[in-house]
Amino acid sequence: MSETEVPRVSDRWKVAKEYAADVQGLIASPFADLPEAASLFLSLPENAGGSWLHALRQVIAVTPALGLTDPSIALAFTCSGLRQMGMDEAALGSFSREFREGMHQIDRSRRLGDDDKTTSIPGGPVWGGNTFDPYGKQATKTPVTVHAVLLLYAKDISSLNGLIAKAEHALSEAGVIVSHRVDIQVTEREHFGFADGVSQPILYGPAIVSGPGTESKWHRIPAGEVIIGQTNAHGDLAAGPIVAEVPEKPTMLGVGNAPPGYRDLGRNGSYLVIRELQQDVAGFWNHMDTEAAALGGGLTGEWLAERVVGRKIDGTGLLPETVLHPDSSVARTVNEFGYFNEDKDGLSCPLGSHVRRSNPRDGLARTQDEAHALVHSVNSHRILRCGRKFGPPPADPRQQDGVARGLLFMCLNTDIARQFEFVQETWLLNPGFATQADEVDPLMGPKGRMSIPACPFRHRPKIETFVKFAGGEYFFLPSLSAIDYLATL
Amino acid sequence: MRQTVLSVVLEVQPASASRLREIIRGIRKAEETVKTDADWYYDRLRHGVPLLQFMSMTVCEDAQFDPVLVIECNFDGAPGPFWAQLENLYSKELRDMLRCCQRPRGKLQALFDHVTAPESRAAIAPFLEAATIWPAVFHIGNRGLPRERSERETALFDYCQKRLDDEPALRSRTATEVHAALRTGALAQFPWLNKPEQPQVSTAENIADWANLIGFLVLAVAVLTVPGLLLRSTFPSWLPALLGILGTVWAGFHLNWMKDPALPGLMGLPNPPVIIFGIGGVALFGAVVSVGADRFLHWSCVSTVGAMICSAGALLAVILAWIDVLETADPSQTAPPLNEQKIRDQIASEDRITQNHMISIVHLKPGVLRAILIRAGLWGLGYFLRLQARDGYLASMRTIHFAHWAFVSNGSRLMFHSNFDGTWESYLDDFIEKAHAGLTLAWSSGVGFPPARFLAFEGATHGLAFKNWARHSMTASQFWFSAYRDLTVNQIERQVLVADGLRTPTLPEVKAADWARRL
Ligand code: HEM
Repeated sequence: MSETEVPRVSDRWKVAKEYAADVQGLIASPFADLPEAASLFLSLPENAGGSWLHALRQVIAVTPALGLTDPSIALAFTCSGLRQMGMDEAALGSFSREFREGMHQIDRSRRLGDDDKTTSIPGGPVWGGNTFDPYGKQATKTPVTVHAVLLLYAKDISSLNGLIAKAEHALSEAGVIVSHRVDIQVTEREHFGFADGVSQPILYGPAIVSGPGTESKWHRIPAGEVIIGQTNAHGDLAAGPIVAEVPEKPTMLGVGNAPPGYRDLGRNGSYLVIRELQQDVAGFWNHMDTEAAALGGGLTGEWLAERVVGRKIDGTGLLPETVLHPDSSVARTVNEFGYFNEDKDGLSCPLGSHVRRSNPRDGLARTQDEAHALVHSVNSHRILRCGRKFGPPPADPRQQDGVARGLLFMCLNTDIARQFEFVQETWLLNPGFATQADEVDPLMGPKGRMSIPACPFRHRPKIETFVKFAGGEYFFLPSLSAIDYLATL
Repeated sequence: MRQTVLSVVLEVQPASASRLREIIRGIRKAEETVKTDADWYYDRLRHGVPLLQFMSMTVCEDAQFDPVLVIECNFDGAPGPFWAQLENLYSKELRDMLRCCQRPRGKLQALFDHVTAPESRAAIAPFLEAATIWPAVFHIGNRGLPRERSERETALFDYCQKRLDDEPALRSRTATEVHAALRTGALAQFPWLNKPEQPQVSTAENIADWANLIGFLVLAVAVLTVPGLLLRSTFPSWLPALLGILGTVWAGFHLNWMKDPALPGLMGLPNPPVIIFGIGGVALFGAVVSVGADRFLHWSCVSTVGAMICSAGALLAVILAWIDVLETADPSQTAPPLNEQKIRDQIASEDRITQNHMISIVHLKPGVLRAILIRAGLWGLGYFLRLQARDGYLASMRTIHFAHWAFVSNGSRLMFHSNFDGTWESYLDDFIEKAHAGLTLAWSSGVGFPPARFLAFEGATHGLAFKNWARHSMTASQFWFSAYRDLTVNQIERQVLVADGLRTPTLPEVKAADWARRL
């Protein structure tokens, strides 16, 4: 496999050459070398067809996973977008239920916690796909309807602006409008000030070339968790959409895993989850200070915030020597750790902290034997995060400045229900997660108590909500050949 | 402390199915609008039937059968008092529901007529009790914890939390002192802390659990060895030995794994081909012992034992090969017809409180071997679980309050109920990732189940196919009640530990620290 290696796009793993020209670059890398970016959320005219993609291609091309290019571009579609482009219902029906129904479907919205007014911006989320739902209960309508998202990444702000201007011009020629725009910057530190992007799954499989030092015990997941058509964590080929062959309309789409009479539209693609989450930085830090002071014992706002997140501000883990298992004194990278041996009771990293909820590793095990099996199980629920922050960093994190900022949360996965939704529902927002009662994720969940294990007994500060949902949707991130196909609609 | 899991399944007059659904929805609506204290739903039922833990009422449709009414009940104690409480509360509704059902034939008929006659005021409980279907296998998460006790312990737990929140001064004390301080206050409010609780599993139950499992194993061994014993006692020793070897050889030829030996081992067991070779070896060994002891040593007892061993080995080998033959030819439904509206109804009813409920009914695959194995399998699994799963854990999952499997429609269909914590997706993923063998064993006899090997392998590991299959067999219940809207299995057990600690007058520091971790 090593002869087929392609230029470096990520230091851990890359997409093998046979696939790299077809897979979108965003899957292989979050383009961290291109700090300035913009997400243009597009609304298509009625009966848009695919010709607007031609027009767009004249000025910018979607970036494949072949290596770093400046600028880089990614493109993804909502279900309502594909319908607007004229994709037939049978083909739409072959997408996953989550994608077809959309993030704002009434039951889904309830399950994702989005029906809770306290965790959404006043007036409710602004944008979504407004997916047509023939089964009675209409999705919550958002004021802005998004059909596609164009993500533009550049080295500096002036080349980004040039890129945006070119794209907007070509789009408006084709009748497509940018109905919502979020400018985003690379997220080494998210707005509360914490290091972000530390822990990521590491892909493996026939479509992947592993880089050096990726023999991780904790983070390896099969490529089918992110790339449609590859083997997933349940041992199946990750399912994706298919389209019927039309004899008079030859297509360059491959047969892939499609049954006879069909072409594989999903192969080498992925599902992209986007959620625009506003962060009230000053509110967060002032509240941390007050609550920490109320706990007494000289605890600081930083101390409390680090428990809420589950990592130190600089990104290092919270497991100090005092609770280290004798075996684990061996050197290890920051992210190669579990909780079972080191911190079963959460005395160092609280059981309910954001990081421990979003990836419990082996921490939910009862016995040593179970711990290993549980890592495997937990790794069937990982997501590849590629979000960025929006809005300027605050001058003083404790000073309210009235400027909107936050995280444009983005993640890639192939089974939205088993990956993104599972993380959000079963871990982050589950009041009974890991022996707890009536507590949810303190960072992004609704307000409530958070237990911080301590001696002789736990602290239990009240944590308010400082992260609010402003809009979001599930997108299909097609392969490059699938984009070519969509252009023929 | 005894708990009972049962269901009543009655055929519905097809034309009355929608009326029946309306009656059941009516009960639900009444419960959900009558709020007596603060914000509590189902007050009437909660107070009226204090024995009840979980209950569902569902009209299940099927293309091959008339609709059935399923009343699933999970409660404390014996059926008598429970039915009496339920009838006392819902006698009118229950009678109206029964009137929508078909008149049963056989011994239930007279009771049914009596209850459903116009203007009848006859007691309904005797009919429901007579029409009860007992589970083939069930699992109780919080075994031996009656609702009344869990409610007391919830109040105690909340009391402790409040005191710890309100009294920061406690933080500077030792764990032993914290325990003492909480106990002093708690005793005044919760005098029951001074009285002993009934054990979760009484000695009598414990003995019965062991006796059942041992009895089952003895019976299984007997069934496998008796043919050898009978043959050996009537025929010369070479005959059972020859039959055994022939059977084993037949099995060897029919096993498809020869072409596909890549099955994984499971739960520390070697993989199936190794097991089968081992079994063949046992049969051969028995045959040699039987003939050798008879011909050369004239030890007739040893010879008989040899014949019995040979018989057991050969029968097991034949059964496994037979299963393999059946499974290789089994059609599996890769795309079950999913009725979108039905699925939406299910999804709309889910994730409203801490627990969720599922009811599924599937058709059983035909054949005498399957009919025997599924019954024996569930029966044995049940006895095993009674001993193995007493602390809420089923394998590494601790999310199931009450679940059961039962045969319905005269044994041609298998019904599954579960009342579990968390989402349906996470529940099925738990099974797929952590307990697929047990689940496949119980469900692989269902028509259309994803391809399984040797009853327990693969099957449920085909994640998406399995989820689709499970979804399509389900029905959204018209009525579902949980006595604890926000208690997980885990939390109920946690409260037991907290209460147990407070029952103890003083705790030494190490124990007290351990106890305080639960708070
Ligand atoms: C504004 C909201 C959020 C903020 C500020 C935030 C912040 C963070 C931070 C600081 C980390 C630790 C550093 C790292 O491992 O990258 C982290 C980890 C993580 N977060 Fe978030 N997050 C937010 C929302 C979400 C959401 C909505 C999800 C998923 C539904 C999520 C999933 C994760 C995951 C999976 C990890 C990695 C955990 C691990 O593997 O150890 N986060 N987040």
